[in-house]
Amino acid sequence: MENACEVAGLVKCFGPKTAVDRLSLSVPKGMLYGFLGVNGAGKTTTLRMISGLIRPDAGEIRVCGIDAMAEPQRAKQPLAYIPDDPVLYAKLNPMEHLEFVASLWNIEPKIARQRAQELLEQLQLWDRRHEWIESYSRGMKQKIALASALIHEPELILLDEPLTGLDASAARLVKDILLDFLKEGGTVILTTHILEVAERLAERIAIMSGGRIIAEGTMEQLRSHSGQAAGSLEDIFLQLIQEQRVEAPL
Amino acid sequence: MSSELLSHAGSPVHSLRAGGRLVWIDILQGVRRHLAGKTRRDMMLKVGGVLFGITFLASLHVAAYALIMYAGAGYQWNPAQVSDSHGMRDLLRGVGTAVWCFLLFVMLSGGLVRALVVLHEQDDSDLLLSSPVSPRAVLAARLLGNALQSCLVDGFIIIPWINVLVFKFGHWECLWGYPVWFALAIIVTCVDGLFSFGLIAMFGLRQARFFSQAIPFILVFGVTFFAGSVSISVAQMNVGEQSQMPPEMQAHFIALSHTPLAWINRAAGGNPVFLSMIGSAAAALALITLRLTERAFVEGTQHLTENYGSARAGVADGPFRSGALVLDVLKNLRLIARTPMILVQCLAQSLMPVGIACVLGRQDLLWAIAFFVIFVAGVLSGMFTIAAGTVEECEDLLAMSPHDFRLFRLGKMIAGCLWPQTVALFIGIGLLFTDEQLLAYAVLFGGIPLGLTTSIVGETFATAVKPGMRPKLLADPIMMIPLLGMQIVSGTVAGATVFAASLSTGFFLISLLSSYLIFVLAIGLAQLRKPLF
Repeated sequence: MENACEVAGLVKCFGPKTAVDRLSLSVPKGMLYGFLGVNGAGKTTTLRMISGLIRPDAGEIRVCGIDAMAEPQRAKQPLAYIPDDPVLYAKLNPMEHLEFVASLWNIEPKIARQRAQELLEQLQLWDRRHEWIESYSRGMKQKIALASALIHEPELILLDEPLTGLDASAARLVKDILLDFLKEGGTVILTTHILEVAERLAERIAIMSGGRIIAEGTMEQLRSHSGQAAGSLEDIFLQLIQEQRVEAPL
Repeated sequence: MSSELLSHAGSPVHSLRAGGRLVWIDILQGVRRHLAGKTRRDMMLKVGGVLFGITFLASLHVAAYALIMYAGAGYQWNPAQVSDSHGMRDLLRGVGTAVWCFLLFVMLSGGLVRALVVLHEQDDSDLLLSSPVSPRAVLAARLLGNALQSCLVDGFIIIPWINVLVFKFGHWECLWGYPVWFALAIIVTCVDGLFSFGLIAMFGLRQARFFSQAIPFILVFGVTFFAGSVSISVAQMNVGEQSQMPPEMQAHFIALSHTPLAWINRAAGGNPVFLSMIGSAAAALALITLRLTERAFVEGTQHLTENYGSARAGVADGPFRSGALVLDVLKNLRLIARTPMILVQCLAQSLMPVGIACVLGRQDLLWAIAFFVIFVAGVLSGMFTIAAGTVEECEDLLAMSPHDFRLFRLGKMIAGCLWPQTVALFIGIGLLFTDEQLLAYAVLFGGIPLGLTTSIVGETFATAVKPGMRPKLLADPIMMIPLLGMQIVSGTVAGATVFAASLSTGFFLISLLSSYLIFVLAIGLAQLRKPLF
């Protein structure tokens, strides 16, 4: 199976602190891949390196077969990244914001407008399209961020804590949109602290600690790895993190 | 993904278009930020702002005209004042050079703070740099936006000068001053940009921000000090001859016209050689800046942002406890002290009056002290109040507390004017024991109300940032207006009060009365924007 994202031997240090330590992973196309870990485990740094925002100190990154180190701009074309606290242009309305984002990916204005309208309707924001984004609630802003990621029809979306601040119905809506995206052949890598979401949506899960992946695989593989045959992801996660802390105390 | 849509993404044409669009988005947002608000109060403030702006620019046109006439330009010039027509030409060139140099200095000093904010602290970097647009195009758009902002903010210096030369004196070739103005903005933006990257490379982002606040004021201090020294000697030379520039002063300007700085003025006058020199310098510097700083722009800021920590919050349950006002004042003082960028801005603000006081102090030390204390009481009370009002604040928490919300506004004002007013009080009392008792009254009855005035105005305009966000203060163009107003008003009041005290008790009382009128006006303004009562 072709991979949407391949990472090998990735290293990133901030001063004396090693944020990501020789990390390797492969995410096949069409998969939702979950990244779990305690705060400071290196999840966000990894996503930022894949998205081209931070240059790794060592290692290789390939996005949809494109070498992101050699051709960074080409590698960004099939990619969308939503940070945990996405910043939107507060004094623009959502149509203006989406049209601007589309222009960054060189989408024709006419097509961008049409696509923005579809997305706003899908995300139930069309009725409030004339309001400035600053008047939106956190959940609505999160939806706009998702629409920004989808407007150029990417192949791979990197999501950092996508469900933070969303109410139940909005969270459901976002999950449905992501599932539709997966059905159309897209790939999603997401980090989350809501383990039930990862357990229910992700086909494969990586658990990070201290900048390294300490366990990776499907739920069944993680269960067998941890020795908890009927354990929930929460049980497995806490056990693995605890074991890691005992092995390498902070 | 519809790959055909993206076939040209990342191409130079696309990068150019995206960069242009980014500049447009920044301008659109800036305009909307300034014009936001539809209430009657907002409309009145907007209309008031426009009227003030028009009056200010009109008076600057008159000042530019007066300067040219004073220098002996135009058609009323008496050629006997200088030896020959070359001398007159050189004199005008010298005066023009001085105006252009002043613009250059103001752009350079203000541009450093802007460079740091615009190049390194924009919140949309994640979006822009994760797109296929080339980082160089993003950087170029940011630099261009910064140059445009620099042009607009400091345009009040040069627009009247060019307009008067062109429309009053018919020197149409001086229209070239507008492109020169823009080229200078590009040069200044690049220099400040390179300097900011250098500061970051040497000291890290946090310290660089710290220095970027202080450096412009150190420059202002230096210029105030030296220009102040010159003006005193000029004042001495000018006794009894108010309408024309004295020959000694002409000599200074004529000498200036023979320095390389005069090239700017010659370019602004349409000289093709100097025009092309300025234009190519701007283009070359822009290319060098883009080439040298692209990598640092993409990586350096990202790296440093990871490690950025904001000031710690104050006492969380303070608003619910008894003695909330004292707790709030202490919390505000702690937050100011723990936000070095704001603290250094406040302290740096006092450098300009120090410069003026040093000049005045050559004549009379007590006058200098009185002027300095009144000025600082005014400027710093306002600055510290703005600082207390713009640091991180949990406004929801304050709103939920059983106390009246205005109590916390009062807390900000007290935190802001506490130490400048205390200093003014002690120095005022100290002056009572000298021979110049009128100066003591000037400090006590002029400086302290002035401090209260600026404190009220500062609190009225300040808007707190949410916890975790970075307070911008001077980097925020909206805050520039009240800050500039405070400096002008404080300087005028301090100068007028001390000068009036030196003349007679009657003049002194009139001057105090004017200060109290400003105090009442400030309360009125506050009442209009954020009611106090």
